[in-house]
Amino acid sequence: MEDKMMSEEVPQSASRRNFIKGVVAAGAVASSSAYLFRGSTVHGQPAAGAVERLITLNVNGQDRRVDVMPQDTLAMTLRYKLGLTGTKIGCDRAECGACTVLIDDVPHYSCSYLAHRARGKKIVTIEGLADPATGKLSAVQQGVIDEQGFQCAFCMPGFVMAATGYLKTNPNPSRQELAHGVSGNLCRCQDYDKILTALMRGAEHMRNA
Amino acid sequence: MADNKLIGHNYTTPDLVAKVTGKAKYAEDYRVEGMLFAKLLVSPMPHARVKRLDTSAALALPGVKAILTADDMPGAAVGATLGENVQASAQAERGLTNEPLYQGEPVLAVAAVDEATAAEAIEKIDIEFELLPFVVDPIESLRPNGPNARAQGNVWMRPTTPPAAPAGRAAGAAAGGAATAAGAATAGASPAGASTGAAPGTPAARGGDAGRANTAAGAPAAGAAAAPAAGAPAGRGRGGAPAGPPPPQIAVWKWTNEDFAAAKDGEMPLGKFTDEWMVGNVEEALKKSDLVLDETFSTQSTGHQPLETRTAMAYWQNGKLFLHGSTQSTVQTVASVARWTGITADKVHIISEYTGGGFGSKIPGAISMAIPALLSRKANAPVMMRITREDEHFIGRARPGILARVKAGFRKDGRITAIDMYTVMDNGPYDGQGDGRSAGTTVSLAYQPETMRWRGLTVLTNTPPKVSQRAPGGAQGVAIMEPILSKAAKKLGIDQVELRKINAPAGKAPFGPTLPNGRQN
Repeated sequence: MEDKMMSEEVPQSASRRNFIKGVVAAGAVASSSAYLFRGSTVHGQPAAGAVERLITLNVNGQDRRVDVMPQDTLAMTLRYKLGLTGTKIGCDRAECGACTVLIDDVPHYSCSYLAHRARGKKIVTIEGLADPATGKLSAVQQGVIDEQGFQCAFCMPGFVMAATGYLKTNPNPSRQELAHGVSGNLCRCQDYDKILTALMRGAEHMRNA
Repeated sequence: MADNKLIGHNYTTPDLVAKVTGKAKYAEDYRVEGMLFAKLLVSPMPHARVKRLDTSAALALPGVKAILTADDMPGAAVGATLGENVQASAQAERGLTNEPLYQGEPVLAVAAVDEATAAEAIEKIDIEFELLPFVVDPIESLRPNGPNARAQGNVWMRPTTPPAAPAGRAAGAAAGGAATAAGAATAGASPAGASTGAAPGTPAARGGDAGRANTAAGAPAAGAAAAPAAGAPAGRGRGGAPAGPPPPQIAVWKWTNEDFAAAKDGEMPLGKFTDEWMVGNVEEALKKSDLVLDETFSTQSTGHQPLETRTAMAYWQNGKLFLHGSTQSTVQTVASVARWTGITADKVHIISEYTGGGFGSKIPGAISMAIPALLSRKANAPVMMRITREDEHFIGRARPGILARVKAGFRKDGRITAIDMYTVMDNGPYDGQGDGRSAGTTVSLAYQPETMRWRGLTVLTNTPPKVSQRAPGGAQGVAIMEPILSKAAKKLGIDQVELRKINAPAGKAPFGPTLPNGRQN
């Protein structure tokens, strides 16, 4: 059972619940770094033929080593194992966009992206946009400051990442095009109009840079 | 001109940079060494009683540290003072319950070393529910043999007090007005869903509705208790209701078969009501109108669904509770959490730097905060209770839906001569809400009818708890009236905007019922 669940095969009729239950039933012992999900196996060494537990993720330009289970999502890993809580969990089911990050410059819902799949890719979160040396805000971030966009701002990291990714493909969008570009992000405060204004301003900053 | 520091200047609000760089921490962003994770077991049924509960298998699971049940919640005894003059009521919401009153209501919580273990422990709980009679549609509950949402009955009502005001219409209105089912700031109501004012010091309802309207026509101390027009005691101070009108009670209320037979298809029946006020003679005015419209509308209960759920994380140090939560008022949350956990306010520290939306559902925080607070004390470790979107859908509160029947009279110039409005409000299972009444007062203000009658019922249902949501009552009232005005404009051949202008309030426009002093507000 343990070997089976630690292999890369996923049962054909896997439901999310059975997936989690199966891994849990593998009887892993909780380690001190268990945190959100069950820790590593006994003795700290992966079982023979098992999936590598300790992986390297490139996040915001840094290589980070992190212990993850096969079913850990990127969102949970960022938030609970890498100390990067800027990425938010709004729905945990790929509907709201609050968890949006860039993976190889493309916006993704990190709540529905397995951490393992992100190995070898370039991950950028909201914390990685400002210049690490000077703290200078990115173009889109500055646009938000200039236009006082967002209210409670829980949706903001997702919107900013989505816009940042979108603008890489279309640096001079119309307001309507940009709205479509971030249509995968929801704002419950309903600040959409001001958000768009702020993101358009950010696009302008980007072009003028 | 005075030299203003901020007005007229461009400035960046102090929170904006933290938010845009991801540094701003919301409740679920905090971490404490040794933090446990909590998962909830929620009711699968809309109304049930726990018949049997065996947590031994769950507790035996490695990594499970504690289980919290309704029996661990304080203030269960009727009459126990929960502090600040608020009396416990056997009918109050408590955070966990052995008699869930809505599908999704938390029954117990498990704390474990990680979420997966806590979730597995929930699966190992041996629990048996007995299904009880339930109702989700207020009208069904009002049928002669309709089910009642609670054992005690299906409506909130205030037992009538003899009118203290001078005789006449004002007194009549006073007696009716005093019989509000709003349950505001009453000793009998719990602090949960605090927009009704059960939580002391609740601010005026959000969303700028009739706000200051005081429909507490009954003079004796009703003013302190009611103000249900705002759906909350508009800025009342601390402390529950002084000895004044009796607190609202749950009662059984049924319409008759004749009431239902008299209503045509699509019309709301006009059975007996618990609350009423009238200004002018609506019947006479309708008879003299050039156009009378009789319309029935329903507005849906809509969840607040803030993007940030009501996750909370708690730990204790030196006998003091530290709680990281999501709230619209940290000050009120201190008092409320003290109440909900049975400790004094000086022992409560609330940390809430940023909140991801509340819209009325997090005014004094959330009663679910009691769960990680008490669970962390029981487990002797910090507890993070991550509320999922599914949990939030159930416990996150909703705006009360209102079914209303409105008869509106118009003169041929478009002026509204009369509004006769009857609201049946879906109150959910707990505290009496004021939205039905606020809908009436807001409509009275917004459309300035020459005469008006408002009648209302506050019906309990086994649906998620209801609480103020931006423009409580006002949003529903306007949503109900606007199609009526649009229809009238078409029938009368008047421009849509003109019709609203003709009926718009101006200056200190009067509204609401007549007060004991003989004037409207």
